[in-house]
Amino acid sequence: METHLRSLRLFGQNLQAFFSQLKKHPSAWLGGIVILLYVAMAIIAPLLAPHSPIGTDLQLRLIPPFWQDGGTWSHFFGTDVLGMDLLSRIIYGARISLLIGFLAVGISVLIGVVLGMLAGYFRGFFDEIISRFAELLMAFPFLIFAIGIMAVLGPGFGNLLLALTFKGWVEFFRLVRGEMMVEKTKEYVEAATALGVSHLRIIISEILPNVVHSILVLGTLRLGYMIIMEASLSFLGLGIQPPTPAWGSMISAGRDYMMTAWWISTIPGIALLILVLSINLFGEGLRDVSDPRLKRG
Amino acid sequence: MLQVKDLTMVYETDRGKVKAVNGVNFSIGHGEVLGLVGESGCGKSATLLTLLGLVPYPGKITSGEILFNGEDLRKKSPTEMRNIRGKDIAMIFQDPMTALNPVFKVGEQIRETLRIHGLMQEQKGSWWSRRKKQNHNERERVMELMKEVGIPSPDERFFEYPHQFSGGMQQRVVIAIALACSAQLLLADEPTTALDVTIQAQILELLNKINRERETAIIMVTHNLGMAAEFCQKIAVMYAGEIVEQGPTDAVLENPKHPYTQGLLQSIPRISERKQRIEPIPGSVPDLATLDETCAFYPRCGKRTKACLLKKYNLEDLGEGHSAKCALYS
Amino acid sequence: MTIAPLVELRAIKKHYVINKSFLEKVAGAKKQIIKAVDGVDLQIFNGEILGLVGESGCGKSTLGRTILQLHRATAGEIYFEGKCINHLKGHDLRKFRQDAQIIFQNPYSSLNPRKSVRQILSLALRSRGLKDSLEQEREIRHLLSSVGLAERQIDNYPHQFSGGQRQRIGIARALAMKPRFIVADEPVSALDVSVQAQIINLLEELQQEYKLTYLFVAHDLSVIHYISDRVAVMYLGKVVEIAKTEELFNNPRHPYTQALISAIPSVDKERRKNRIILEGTVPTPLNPPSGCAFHTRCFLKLGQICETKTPELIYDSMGNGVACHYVKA
Repeated sequence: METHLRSLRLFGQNLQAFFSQLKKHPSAWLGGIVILLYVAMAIIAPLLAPHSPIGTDLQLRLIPPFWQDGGTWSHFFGTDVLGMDLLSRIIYGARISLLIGFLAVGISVLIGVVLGMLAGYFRGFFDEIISRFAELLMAFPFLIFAIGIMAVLGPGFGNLLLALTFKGWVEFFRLVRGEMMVEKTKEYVEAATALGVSHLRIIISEILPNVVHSILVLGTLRLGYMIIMEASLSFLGLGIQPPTPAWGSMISAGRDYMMTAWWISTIPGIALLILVLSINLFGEGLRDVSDPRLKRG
Repeated sequence: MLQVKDLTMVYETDRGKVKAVNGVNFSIGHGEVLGLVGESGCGKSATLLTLLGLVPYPGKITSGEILFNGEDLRKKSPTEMRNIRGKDIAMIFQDPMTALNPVFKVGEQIRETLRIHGLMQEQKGSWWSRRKKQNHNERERVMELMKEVGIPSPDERFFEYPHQFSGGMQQRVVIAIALACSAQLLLADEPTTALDVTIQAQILELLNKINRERETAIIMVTHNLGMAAEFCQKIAVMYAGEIVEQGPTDAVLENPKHPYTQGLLQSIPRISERKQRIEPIPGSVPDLATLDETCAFYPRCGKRTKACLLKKYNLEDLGEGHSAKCALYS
Repeated sequence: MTIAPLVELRAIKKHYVINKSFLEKVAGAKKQIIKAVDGVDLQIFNGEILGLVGESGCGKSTLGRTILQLHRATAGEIYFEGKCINHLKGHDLRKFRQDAQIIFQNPYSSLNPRKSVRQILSLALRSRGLKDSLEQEREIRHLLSSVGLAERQIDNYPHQFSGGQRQRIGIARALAMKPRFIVADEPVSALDVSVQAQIINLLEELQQEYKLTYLFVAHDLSVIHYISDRVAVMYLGKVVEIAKTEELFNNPRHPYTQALISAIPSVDKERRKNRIILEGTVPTPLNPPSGCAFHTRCFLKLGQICETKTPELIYDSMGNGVACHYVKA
């Protein structure tokens, strides 16, 4: 028990050192805070949203945001063609974006890391097969690939996740496989082998802690990408279907009204932009901090 | 020929100023071989780079003079320094692969030095014939150099790339580049450390030959006392950025005065009839950022006294060019 | 010799096959084989320090790792206390690993940067079967003090130590298994001169205290001379000479050994003798010369026989062996 406490404390110290280094990157810091705000917004969406996100009221259609003529405070960002409240839809839309983003990255990490570690450690035939398959997937542009899958399977939450992860794991696989091959040649791995530690333990408790940073960095950067991908698919009508609030389909819905009601497309677009920008800033900061070349002894 | 006076180079880091080279004095004449000996981090490589005006970032020379044939190199402009580097003073590195460009043919790299320093005679005639003659002469000269440093069949190896050469052969190429402009002074930074024992002997032999035949002065940085003993006429022992003892090789190694030199000599295993027990120096090399002005060896020294902490001591002449920096001799 | 050796190698070979990429295979590239260790017979006796010396690429590190079953031998047998250990698996292999440990050259990559000293050592203790955390704690503290580290550094991470101290941690990790046999793979070559001496002395003290047997792999002949009881010289995957240390250094018989010994730069004037400077470089083990692998650089070459026939390692009555046609002739 005591040793567990101690290792927890050490882990805490590590984390502290990590965050104190992160503080030196104001942009990353800002990005992190914005991400947290979005996450909080998504979680307490029912408390924040002034209206129902799917409640239509044709009497109140195309109301502009409050600062324009005809705008009202009760519909902060205005309403869309069907009279749904934009602010409420954006707040609820964050749920979809973040949920898809985190799940897609999470599943990709899981598949990519497991396959990458096994392939990089044991090499051989297994590695050959997986690597060739990964290379095959790499040959398709992500968006086209995802569109193809969605077109075949049809829209839906589960299918969306499948489309995003079907190719999403490849990046993680390649990263982890490469790092694994580097780490495996280091003598501490050989030392563990000489102590009679099993392969699985070596992979999980000796090598994994050394690659976790890179996975974290790539994961963050891919999170932004996955969110954009979801928005793109929804925009094309292949992802989340209206009336379920998703930023991509909201942008798409406002397309025809750009001249008369710009806010329907623009405001969800800005929400998406700020989130992805923050994620990328945070990811860049994370990469700088964990890059050993920039670290001192 | 080269005289270094009170040279100090400071790294400005966020942990404060670190004196990597601290008030170093030495000189070397034509055809002499000087060994700078010390452990890693003692400032021996930093000293060499500073001489060439290649102060590693974030370093700065804060005081001292580097007199080369009577002229202070510190006052030279960057362009003048570029001319001196390679032409008058050449450098050989520990890892030859970092000194050679992997994407150019070995011969071309030697030829490059000849061109940059304008060492080939201008040819007469039309542009075309001039170029042809020039090309031919340069190639001949490069082959000569390659032969001189002992690269077999230079006419084939001229067209090979550095990675096709073994470590020892790469080092020979670097030496050929240094010879290309008949430098008067050769700075060798651990030239054989990365090489195998038998190859090490070959390279040392080559450097020896150059020193004998061309009267090139050599400053060799090494951590291997045996190598310094066999190769150098004079030795300067460095510790924590300072020269703590210097003098003729035999005097320093057979009659070491500074406790650090004594400790070093006792800590290397020697091959002799009787097995002598080696006596390590306790502790490890200090962190340069935390040093004050007094003797840096004090915490590890077996002969320390209260006098050590009183003031900063200077190199004290002990006769016959042998000097040591220690409270024992002041 | 009536004493049974602790470790015995019989005709050990370790060949590596260079894997061709998929495309190269399609293009019909042939397999290339590196003969890192190519037929080594060796006996290591209880309580001795056997020095193994040679230049880079001669297979000395591979040999050490092959004995420890970190690499499986391609051919030949390895006996530990009379038992063949080539094909050990599972429980038996783990048991063997307790008896035979390794100390590495690079004090930086040999310790996991994300593990504290406590974690590194407790991994070893757990592998030995010591699971109780209180006992582990006591044992770790004991280990630290026996390799000359302060007990308060127990929760420090590798990057907080100097090279010499890290090497001590690596030694403590090997000792944690209570081994009888240790392969020390260039344990001091990455260290500074003054620190090198500390580690050499520590290794010697530990050897006496725990009655250890070392295979001490190094390229530095002065270190080998200092620490070893017997020395084996390797060249291109083969042992070319093996003898008692004094015998080997005072009276080297194989021309390669002679050249190696004459090449040692020495502080002492009287040791500086005529240098034998070998021509050329070590040939690649990808395509070693026929016959005696040394014949391309040898200054005592007899002629035809050296190029065609591989000389065998022949022992004299004193147990010193040499593999050379010239010496035999």
